[in-house]
Amino acid sequence: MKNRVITILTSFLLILPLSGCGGMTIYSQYREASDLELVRVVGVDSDDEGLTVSISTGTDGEGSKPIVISRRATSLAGALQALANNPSTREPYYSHAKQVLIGEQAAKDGIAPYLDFVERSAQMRGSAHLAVVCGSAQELMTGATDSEVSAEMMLTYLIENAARTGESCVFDASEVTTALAVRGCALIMAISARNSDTEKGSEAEKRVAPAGFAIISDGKLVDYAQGEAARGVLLLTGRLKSAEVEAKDADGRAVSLQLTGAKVKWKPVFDKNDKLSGISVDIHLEGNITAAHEGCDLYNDQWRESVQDNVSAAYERCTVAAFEQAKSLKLDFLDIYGNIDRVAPYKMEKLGFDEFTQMLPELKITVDAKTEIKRTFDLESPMPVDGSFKRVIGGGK
Amino acid sequence: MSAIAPGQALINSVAAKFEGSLDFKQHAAYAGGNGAEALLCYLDSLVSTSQASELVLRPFTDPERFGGIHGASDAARLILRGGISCVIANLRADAESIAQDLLDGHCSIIFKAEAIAVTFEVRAQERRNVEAPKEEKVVKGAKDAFVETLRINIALVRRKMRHESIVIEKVTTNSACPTGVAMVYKRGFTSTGIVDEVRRRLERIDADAIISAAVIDQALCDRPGSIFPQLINTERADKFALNILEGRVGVLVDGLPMGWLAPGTFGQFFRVPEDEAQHTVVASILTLLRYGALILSLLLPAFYVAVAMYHQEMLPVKLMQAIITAKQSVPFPTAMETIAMLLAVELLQEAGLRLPNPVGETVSIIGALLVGQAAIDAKLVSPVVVIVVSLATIAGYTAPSQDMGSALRVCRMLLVLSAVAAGIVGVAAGLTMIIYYLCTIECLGVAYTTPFSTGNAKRVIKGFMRFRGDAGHRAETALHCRQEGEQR
Repeated sequence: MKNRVITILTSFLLILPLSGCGGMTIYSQYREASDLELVRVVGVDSDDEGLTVSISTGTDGEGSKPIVISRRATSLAGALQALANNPSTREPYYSHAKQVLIGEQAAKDGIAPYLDFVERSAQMRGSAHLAVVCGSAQELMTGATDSEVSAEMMLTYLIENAARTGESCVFDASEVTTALAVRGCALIMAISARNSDTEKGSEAEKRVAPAGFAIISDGKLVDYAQGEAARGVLLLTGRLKSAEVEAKDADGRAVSLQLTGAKVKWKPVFDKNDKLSGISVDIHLEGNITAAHEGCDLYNDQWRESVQDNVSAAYERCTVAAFEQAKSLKLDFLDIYGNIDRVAPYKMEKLGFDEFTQMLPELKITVDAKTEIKRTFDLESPMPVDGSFKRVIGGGK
Repeated sequence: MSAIAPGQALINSVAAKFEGSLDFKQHAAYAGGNGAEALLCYLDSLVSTSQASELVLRPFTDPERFGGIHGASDAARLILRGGISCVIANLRADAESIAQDLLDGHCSIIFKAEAIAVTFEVRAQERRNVEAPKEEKVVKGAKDAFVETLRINIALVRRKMRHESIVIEKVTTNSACPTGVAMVYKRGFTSTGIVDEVRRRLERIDADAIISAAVIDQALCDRPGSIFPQLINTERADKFALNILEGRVGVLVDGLPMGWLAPGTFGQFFRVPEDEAQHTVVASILTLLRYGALILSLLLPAFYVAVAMYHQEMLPVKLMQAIITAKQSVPFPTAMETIAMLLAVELLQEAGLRLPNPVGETVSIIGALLVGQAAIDAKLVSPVVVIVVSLATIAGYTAPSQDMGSALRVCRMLLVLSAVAAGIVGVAAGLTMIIYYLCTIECLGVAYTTPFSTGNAKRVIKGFMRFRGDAGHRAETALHCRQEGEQR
């Protein structure tokens, strides 16, 4: 019995120093919840003299205004320390930071220190979303925050809208780190924060909008994939889940489609010597018509085919634009190598990734897109609004 | 100096044993009115004097029955042959057995000429009626609870199990003040090892008197110092009988309105007889709910303390924000706040238990208002802590056994202290130690964690759930019960 008690007590004493990530004991992790300020968005900007780190809190549901604080320092650690020492706020706590915004200049200088901060920090999580701001992250966070909407809320809506409209999508820090480690390049969602003129006398309002993708190579921003190229990127990376598409029929009348599914089939083409000579990409899109111009014959097969062809052609253009950008930059940010390697692993074994990126500009890539309209809403019989609707069930007159 | 008659010496010895006792009475009596001289003695606190007069004294002094009998031996012989119609009549010749009979509610006729006595059971019938259980609520089941009289308790048990295999055995303890103790088990089914061990332990009891339940607890438990109950304690006769049929040994003690069942296993403390009366699905869900409540009661305050002090990243942002907002104006650290609330709840509970029912309820209500609402309004505790502690306390009440509930309260506090010391690591360590400790407990050779530690998946599942056909067939093989084939 005595031995057992000693064993239990010794075990407990040995467990106590288990610390997790820092310090000698668990006590180094002690912090009262009431002393913490939950940081939701972190922004980083840099210039020639140093860098600025901005943090933004969320709303607490009791009407308190979100706080945005920025501190300048020569290093990231210095700026974070300055934020921690800020006497007017509680201790910043980064575990719940959902978004990390990197200013354009900071991205051009290199995102490695920020990725390192996210990945190695005891508080930050790899699931934090990354975005490159075309401009200044600090300005975006300050401009976007008002008494009701925090930067985090604004960015959340923006990301959801971008995914819905098929303009862009968000990658988290772990995905970006993995892509950089494996392919040397990665995509990060790009956000534009442009000034737009409003009424006379008022300040210029920040208009925040998705701006495709920032292309990162060797840890630095090298280009943006925007417009058609961004849509192509979204499709080829398998991130296009649903999107609202404006198309036209053969007569040039507007038709709205809701894309509900997209499948991309990669086929590597090899020559007689089993050397990669090209890539064939088959795209299959599915969607529903949500709105059509008056006079469109929704049940006419020819009309439907014309719409399908137009949508297919539009996405072929988007895909080709994305491939062209990859070729021009000699960067495999679309993970072309990975996709064809999965289809023909034995043949691709001979071809190294570096060799592949060198031959990428000369590679012949053919794209074939097909669209299938699965259904239409009952647009032929619109809801009567002239009072002609009569209740026939339940004794109505 | 004349020699004292042997009978007189016996009388003197008996009288000496009860010297100074207010309730020790003696009356001279003569067989048939003028025959053998004797002394009727009894303890009037334990016997029915009217029965003693009618059943013993009147026939003994009746000349028609005992007229002309002058010899003590002849009188005693006639008594035992039916001269006095009493169901229980014993011939005694020594002071010790006479004194013991007197203490058991007998009256005794001691003859003066010879050292012979006859004792008759004329026990007083003052006793409490059988009522519904007060400590254990019955939702759907028999409403007869044990009383302080052993004989009635035995009758309650026997009526529920009318079979010759049910043995109700008297056990003589070493106690200075002998108390009636009965052992109940199912012959041919209950492990003989358990039966023998229970008997041996009961016989070994050398307390001055078995007045408190703790004497039996101490005697039967393998680890009397453990906070976890190892004996099932019940005032419900139906629960007692059901456990006997499962292969447990029951113990009933005169003067105590409860029965003990050994061996107790951890899972058994989370089952109630009502489970048998419920639909299997409902019974299984309720059993799982009790285990869920056990986890909630044990871990919720500790988990809250660990998260609020060390692992804020574990909570979703909205919940964390709500906790931070609620704690903003509270001056105390989380640890102190939680421990103080737990202690306040314990105080309220203890106060409510010790006071008479209406007052106890009032104290609970006022306490809940004061400690809860007023403390929140005064910004002394955060609402989250009140919710956490209340939820844990309410969850703790779902444990059917009060003894187990008390043990869980102690463990809850220990886990909170572990959380304060080392966060989630401390909680995990504390929980591991509790589980380890539970695994080391054995009660009468049966592992306390039965059936969860048997390694038999089917039996583990049965520990949590009840299946169709289980009701009425309660063989508990972990208790080393003999199989059906071995019984015949």
